[in-house]
Amino acid sequence: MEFLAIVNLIIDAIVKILPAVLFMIGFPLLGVWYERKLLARVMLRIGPLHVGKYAGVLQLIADFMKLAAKEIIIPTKANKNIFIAAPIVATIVAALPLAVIPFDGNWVVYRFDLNLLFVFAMASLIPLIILLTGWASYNKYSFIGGLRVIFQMLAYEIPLVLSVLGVVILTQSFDLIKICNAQSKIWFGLLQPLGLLVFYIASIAEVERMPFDIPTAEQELVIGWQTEYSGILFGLFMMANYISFGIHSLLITIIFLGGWLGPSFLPPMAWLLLKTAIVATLTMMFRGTYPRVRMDQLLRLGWRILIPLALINILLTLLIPTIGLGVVT
Amino acid sequence: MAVLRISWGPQHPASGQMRIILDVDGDIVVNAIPSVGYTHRSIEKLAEYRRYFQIVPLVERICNLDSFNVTLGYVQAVEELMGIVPPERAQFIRVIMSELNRITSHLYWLALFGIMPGQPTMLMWPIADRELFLDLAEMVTGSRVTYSYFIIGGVRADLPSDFPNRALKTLDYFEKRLKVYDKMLYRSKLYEMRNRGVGIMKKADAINLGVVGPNLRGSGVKVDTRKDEPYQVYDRFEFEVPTEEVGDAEARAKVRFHEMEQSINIVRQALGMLPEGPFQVKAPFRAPPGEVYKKVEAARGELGFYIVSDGTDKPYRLKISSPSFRNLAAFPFLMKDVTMADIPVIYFSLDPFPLDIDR
Amino acid sequence: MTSETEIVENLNSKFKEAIVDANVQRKARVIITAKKDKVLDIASHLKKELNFDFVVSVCGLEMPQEDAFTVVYHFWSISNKILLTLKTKVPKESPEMLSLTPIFESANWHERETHEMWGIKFSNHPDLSRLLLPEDWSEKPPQRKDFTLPR
Repeated sequence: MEFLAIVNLIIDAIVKILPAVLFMIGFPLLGVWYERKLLARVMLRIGPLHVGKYAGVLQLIADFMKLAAKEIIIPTKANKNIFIAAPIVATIVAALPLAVIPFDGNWVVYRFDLNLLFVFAMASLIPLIILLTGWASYNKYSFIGGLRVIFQMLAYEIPLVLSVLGVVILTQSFDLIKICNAQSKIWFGLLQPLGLLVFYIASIAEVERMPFDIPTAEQELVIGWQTEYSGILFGLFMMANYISFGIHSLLITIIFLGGWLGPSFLPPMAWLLLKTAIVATLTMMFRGTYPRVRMDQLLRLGWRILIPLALINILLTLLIPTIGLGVVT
Repeated sequence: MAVLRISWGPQHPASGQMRIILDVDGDIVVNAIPSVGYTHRSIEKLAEYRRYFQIVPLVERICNLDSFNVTLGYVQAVEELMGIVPPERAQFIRVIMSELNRITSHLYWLALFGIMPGQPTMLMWPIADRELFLDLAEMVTGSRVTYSYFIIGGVRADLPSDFPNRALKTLDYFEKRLKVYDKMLYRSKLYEMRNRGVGIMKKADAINLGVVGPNLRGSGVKVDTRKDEPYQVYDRFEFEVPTEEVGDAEARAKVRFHEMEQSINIVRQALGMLPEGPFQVKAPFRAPPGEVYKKVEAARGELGFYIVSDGTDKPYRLKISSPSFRNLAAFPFLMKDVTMADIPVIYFSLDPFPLDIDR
Repeated sequence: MTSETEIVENLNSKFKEAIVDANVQRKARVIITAKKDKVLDIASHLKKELNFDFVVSVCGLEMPQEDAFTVVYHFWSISNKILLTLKTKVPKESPEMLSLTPIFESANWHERETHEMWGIKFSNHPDLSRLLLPEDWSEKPPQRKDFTLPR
């Protein structure tokens, strides 16, 4: 009897962590392939075609195997410990928020009341790791890339957190499950369009995607702070980048776009993943359409435009009553 | 903060085969010193050991993308020295191919200019459209770049019979694509933010520094060899020389864009006026003693050939005054007190071609 | 709009002893040969009075059976559309002359290349360092006629 109970426990645990782990591994693999095909069509190309039976689906697995088999080159004067530890730590820190993000009303690895705050706390650790990476590589380009990351992420974390405060005030909690369930009548994206806009732009800047990918400006700095990285360490950085991209898209969906709520012909998790996919597609399209902004223009946008907009959003939320819409729980 | 010396060097995804030594203070560039010579092949010295007709492939290598314009410069300088005049059909063919080559070279520039601010779509589209023009060139000469098609006395072979139709079809398609580029590149707000007001060269500075080509025309100076000293049959066509007043990177980009439109115009007129007749004239081996300076308007600017002949079948001295070498003076002038992100934008708005600089 | 013959007359009248030869080769081509020490004055006169805007090219030339190098300057005038060639001779044992860079900024990089390829020293030039040849080039200046390329 006890043996069966233990097996039950283990199966329960595995089922509980399954969506998070699948997301962590699947989003980079599928996401990169999807992005490459999407951008290729925009650019009048075809994208991966040969690996895998249909449209090169297995291309990413081939790429990952290639990266894993490459030699890891460490510059002589680099700080070996930080150099090797940084990508591993970055991937772990980037993937940790998946432990508290709910994929469904009940499906979450660890139920925690302040899960939104936890996500933001993990997001603010990443710039520190990148700065250390840039310094430890003993390369001028990496160093400049690391400094640029600090400037950029500092400027955009503040609007990121401020823009969510409107939603937090309306639902009076930091809990993602409560926030999502509170949108059963109307989505927060429609109630707080300013908040959605600011959060979206700030999150693109936080995950270093075009048009805000200055730290990895390939044409000027030879890929910036990742210059000295090769092989599996580079693969881990790419994974960390895409995992945080996926997490931010998930956050936008849950906080502003109704999360897993939707008509019942699809299971709630399917709605969540569908909406996340739409948000991610939109962000990926930016990469094919816009050039990079310059550093001073980026900082001007962050400090002088986004923060005031986020503050105006909070002001409007406090002044305009929305109790009648049945939002406050 | 201390000044960091970065080598925006030959091993760099964005620098071409030359090196710029940047002194950077934080994010601001304090000083920029170009360091060239990585592809020096001593073409001028080698030319003294080869006969006149053997030098055409040699001279072509100073700009292999823009080969028609470059060889045209050399070939017509030698023709003036020898005193021969190529037949009319050859002159028309030369003008058509040169203008098509101008479009090709400007498309290559547009691709690099698009990706420098970080916009990969603008890299792929012009390169894809350039393939159509390379197909046209392949139809006529057999190769995609470095054609060696012009010879002293005319052209090497006649145009294929279906060339005019195919060329007109390609040009019609390309005109539509130019409108798309206009929307994507020139009207995009982010491009304006990156290019407007960056790398400004006023009129007096541009003349003083001696820059040529679209760089000079982007600063308001209307200098174009095709109008100043018309060569081949350029004086029979009606076309404009686009000029912009402001002198920043956006102005230079606009000049090149409008030049592409004007090239389409010229090719259409030339194809309509193409006469029948021979395409070659026999040229002597030896040139009479004397000297000649003849220039052409290549895609990057004005290219001048100075040939001194002593009566034998090899030139005594060949001096090439290439556009990118003359534009080099603008680098230290423009790259002061700009942020590092502006360096690729300024660099590619001047359109340097290191092979041109080094010869 | 000055014509070619007017330019030749103007220079002949202003710099009588310094100009060795001046003629109009064809339309828009004027060739002047002048003495080395007056070249700077002639260049300044060209810029201020005769509207020549920039230097198009500078090169060295070694005519046969002469004990001097010829330095050839080409100037272009935007308003007159005339190319003027100015030749001057420097002796082979001590090839040096005054640089035109203080007057014509566009001569800067051309003179640097001529110095490197011919060994001609331009005094008052801001920076006569290596340009096209490799840094460890230690043989004689390559474009002279006594430097032969291996066949």
